[in-house]
Amino acid sequence: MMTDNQQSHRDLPLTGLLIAIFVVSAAALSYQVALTRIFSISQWHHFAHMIISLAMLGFAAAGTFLAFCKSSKNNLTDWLKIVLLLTALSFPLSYWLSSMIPFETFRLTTQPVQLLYLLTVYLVLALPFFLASSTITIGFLTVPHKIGLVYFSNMLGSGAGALFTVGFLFFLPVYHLPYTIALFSSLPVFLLFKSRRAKQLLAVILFTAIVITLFVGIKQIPISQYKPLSYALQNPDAEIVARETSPLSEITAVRSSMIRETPGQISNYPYSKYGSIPEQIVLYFDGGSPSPIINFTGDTQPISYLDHTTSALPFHLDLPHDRVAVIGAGGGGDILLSLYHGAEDITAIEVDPSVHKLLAEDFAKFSGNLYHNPKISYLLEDGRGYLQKTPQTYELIKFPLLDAFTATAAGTNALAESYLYTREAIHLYLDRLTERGCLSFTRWLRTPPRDFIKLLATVIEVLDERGVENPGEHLLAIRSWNTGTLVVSPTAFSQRSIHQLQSFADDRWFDLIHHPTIESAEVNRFIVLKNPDYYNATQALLSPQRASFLAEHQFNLNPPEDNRPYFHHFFRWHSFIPLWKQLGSGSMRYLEWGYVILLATILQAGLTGILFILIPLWLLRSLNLLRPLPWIIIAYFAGLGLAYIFLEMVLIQRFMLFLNYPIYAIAVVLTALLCFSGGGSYLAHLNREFPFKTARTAIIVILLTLLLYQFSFPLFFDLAAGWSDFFKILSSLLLLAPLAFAMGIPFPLGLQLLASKNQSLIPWAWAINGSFSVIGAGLATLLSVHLGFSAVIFISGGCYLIVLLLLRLLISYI
Amino acid sequence: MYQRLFFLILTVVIICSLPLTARADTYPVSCEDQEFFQIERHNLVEQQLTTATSGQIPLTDTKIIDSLKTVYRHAFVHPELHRYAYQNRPLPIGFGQTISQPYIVGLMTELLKPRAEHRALEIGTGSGYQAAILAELVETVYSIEIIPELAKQAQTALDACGYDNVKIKTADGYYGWEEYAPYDLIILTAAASHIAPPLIEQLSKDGRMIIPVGPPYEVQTLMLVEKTADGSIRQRSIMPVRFVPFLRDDD
Repeated sequence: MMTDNQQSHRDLPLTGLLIAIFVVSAAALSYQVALTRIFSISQWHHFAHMIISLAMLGFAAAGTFLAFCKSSKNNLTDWLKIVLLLTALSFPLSYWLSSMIPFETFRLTTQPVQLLYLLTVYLVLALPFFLASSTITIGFLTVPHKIGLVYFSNMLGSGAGALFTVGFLFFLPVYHLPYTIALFSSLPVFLLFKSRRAKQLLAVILFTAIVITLFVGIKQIPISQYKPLSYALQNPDAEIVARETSPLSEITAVRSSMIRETPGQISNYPYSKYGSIPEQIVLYFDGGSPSPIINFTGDTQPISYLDHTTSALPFHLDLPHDRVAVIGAGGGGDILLSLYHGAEDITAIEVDPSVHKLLAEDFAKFSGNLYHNPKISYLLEDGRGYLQKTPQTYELIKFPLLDAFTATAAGTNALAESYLYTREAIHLYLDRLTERGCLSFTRWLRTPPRDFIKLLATVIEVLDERGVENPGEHLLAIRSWNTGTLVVSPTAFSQRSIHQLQSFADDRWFDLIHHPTIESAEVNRFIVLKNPDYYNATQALLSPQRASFLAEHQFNLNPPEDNRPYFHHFFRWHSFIPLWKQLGSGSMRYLEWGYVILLATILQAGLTGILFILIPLWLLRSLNLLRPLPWIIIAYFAGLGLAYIFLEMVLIQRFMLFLNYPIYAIAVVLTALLCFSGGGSYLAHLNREFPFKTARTAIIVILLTLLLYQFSFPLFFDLAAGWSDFFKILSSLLLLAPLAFAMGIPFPLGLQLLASKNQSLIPWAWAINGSFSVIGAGLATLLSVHLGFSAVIFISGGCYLIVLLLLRLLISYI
Repeated sequence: MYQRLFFLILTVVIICSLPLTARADTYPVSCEDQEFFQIERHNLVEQQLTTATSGQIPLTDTKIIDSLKTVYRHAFVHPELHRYAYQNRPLPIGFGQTISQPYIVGLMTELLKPRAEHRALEIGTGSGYQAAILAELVETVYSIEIIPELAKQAQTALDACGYDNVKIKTADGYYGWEEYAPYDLIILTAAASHIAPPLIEQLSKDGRMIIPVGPPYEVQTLMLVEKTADGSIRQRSIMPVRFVPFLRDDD
């Protein structure tokens, strides 16, 4: 392998190297987040993960490549400078090139050239990761006796990158990010060059790059023509009236007299009496999920169309509805509906700060200054988080149509966790009701039926758990052709309420799904389905056959819980073939694309990753290693890659429930894990003479901490639910610190051991770890869906135990 | 070796990034038949629309099958796309819009049960092909298109092919065309988030309305709306329809 490292090292200031590694690591992580956001906007978020996961294998490819390049260069320092410079330039170049490729997800199946485009996208996007990883690997090779320090720099940089990116995305659109990180990551190159002339030349290169960028212009994200935003902009009078950017989503507000989004069907709205529905400004989240802001002048007549949707049902029942909570205020439809029905005290809760800002500031006048209305408290909170901490009880808690119909129909949310509809959540909501209060859920309906039935199953199970003798007496449900509304009360519904339900549904041409005394003749009258599926399912769920109904159903309708909060996951392998036969090739539409893409992601990452691992193994045959050693190395670094990423993924999920905002959870967990792991690798550097003892202590700490987390987290999260965000974040960081610190130790220890045997093995080990981190990311989600978070933590702990045994073997062979 | 690899990658990238020539959105119409078109049209109807292929229900109404054999679909697409005109797939017609897949056109028409004395309202003229099919079957077709250029192009094609029982206006289809209401048949050619109440009001008693519902990029379900004699409506979800992505303007 590359020789004369000592000489290389003499030319290179260690601080400069560590700074370079820090910056490049930060830039690579930042670019990864940027790409996820960019592809979620331009295409679809599930494909974004697939594309980026393969691009991330560029990290592993670099290790493979460098293992392959043995003896090809002897001046690592020069290589480092060149690669570092190329890395910096590759960020905007890769983004710019990828945006030029006319790749279109939805034409993959019909246009063969799209596969070529996809392959090109993969290659173009993998380039910066390849170069960044090369920089880090060369860093390891430059100072093999200080690997712990380099890894420390790498982890710390990644942590800082996570924090920087989240902050950045609050202020600037994501497409600025590749250019910004290019600028930052080019600066450390100056530290590595000693001669003044080289620095001047470098400055000229950077200046030219900046001028070219300014001349060509910062390229905006090209949005797929199949996304709802593209359709909306085709209206002749469509106009973009605002854009908001946040780490969660990019919101585009479009105004057009021809866009009319309604929260469900309004077939029987007396148009000639009341006139057209009011004007809307529609918010598109990442180019999709249209959510309307309704023009409100204070006159309630124009908004009367809202009273012709299924979600108006609870207001027509003989129940109080003065004190209302709206969980997920969105564009304000349900707030208007509450006002229309005379609610006096409305708590509207919105989790997205951009939506909150648009409603409360930019479109405050358009939406009738709703959020300055004395009857309305408009809170920027997570719905469940708010209900968890408030002692307040409500007469009505409304759950409007939170997901867009498009996302629901296409099954793209299949793997999105949703803590809103878990059993634990429903218990909480019922606890926050007054005695005669009720919960009202409105959801889009899908063909074949599933979401709404899963919600019903969850609610019925919760009522059972609460000792309700006859849950059917506490439920009312209706449907239009595209929405269903379920009303749940802790008190049994009266005969009067049932009559009110019947007349509400009859007047609006809605079909009944359930009331306590329902007869089969009452159902499937207006929107005629081939079979009364919703009625039949509800009857089955309320009967003693519930368990067998759930077990035998073609979809997974089992009530979700906090340990497996995948409300949108319905896929069952055993029903795939019957469903295919039943629906013909049209069944492709019913596939949960999120799930299918996840499997494809794991498969492609697995195949490519294994290739990256096996190629060097084949090339390194000549090293005449002891026979079992390569396999021990593979198992050790693969195990570490899996264990680390498993914990990272699950901890983000767990903390999402505690910190309430997904973005806080991602930022806090990533930053804490990476930075504290950096600290751990520094400790590994200090204790490099006692690898086994250090690793054993670290792994014991990991296992004990995991065990402690498993039992104490639910208690702690309950206890701290009411704390302020600041204390929640602080306590999260403290909770994660010991675990993350210990998690940072085994990897550099392993690398240091290899370095003492043969430096050629370092890039290879890096490739193994990188490959399995990518495979593990997909695998963690798959395992969480099927087995739950606790199981994934358990498996991760098992991996660490195995790693400890492998380390023992590794030491004995080396 | 690396240099070669680099240049290979670069070449692929450049080829894939080459901007393809965009077509003009308006074009001359030729309503002349050719032997090639006749054969293609016949094959399309006989082999793909009236047989149970890919799990689809075959078309059975002979009048509608005849109209599909009669109407020149190639007259409603850009001359560059003539060779694809009789493939069972949607094609771009400019302004991000498409001419529907012939099977979907036939199926939606069949569900409407058109009769010679009917007056039909179409929301979304697009290319004018669906209007031409209906014009073969009903008394008058009233068609509304939101994009003026498309309305003009469709009018040109319909005039050239001699369909004088089609009236087109440029407007927002949500409000229907009150002037000529009520209609025996209403057809919506684009997916919508809800069925527009004005259209329900403009549907005659015993009238039928067909509407594709679902995300715009993936037509989901055909919904049939029937107005009963007492003025109430009955909606039936008919069938899922297979999504076939269309080509872009620049393909």
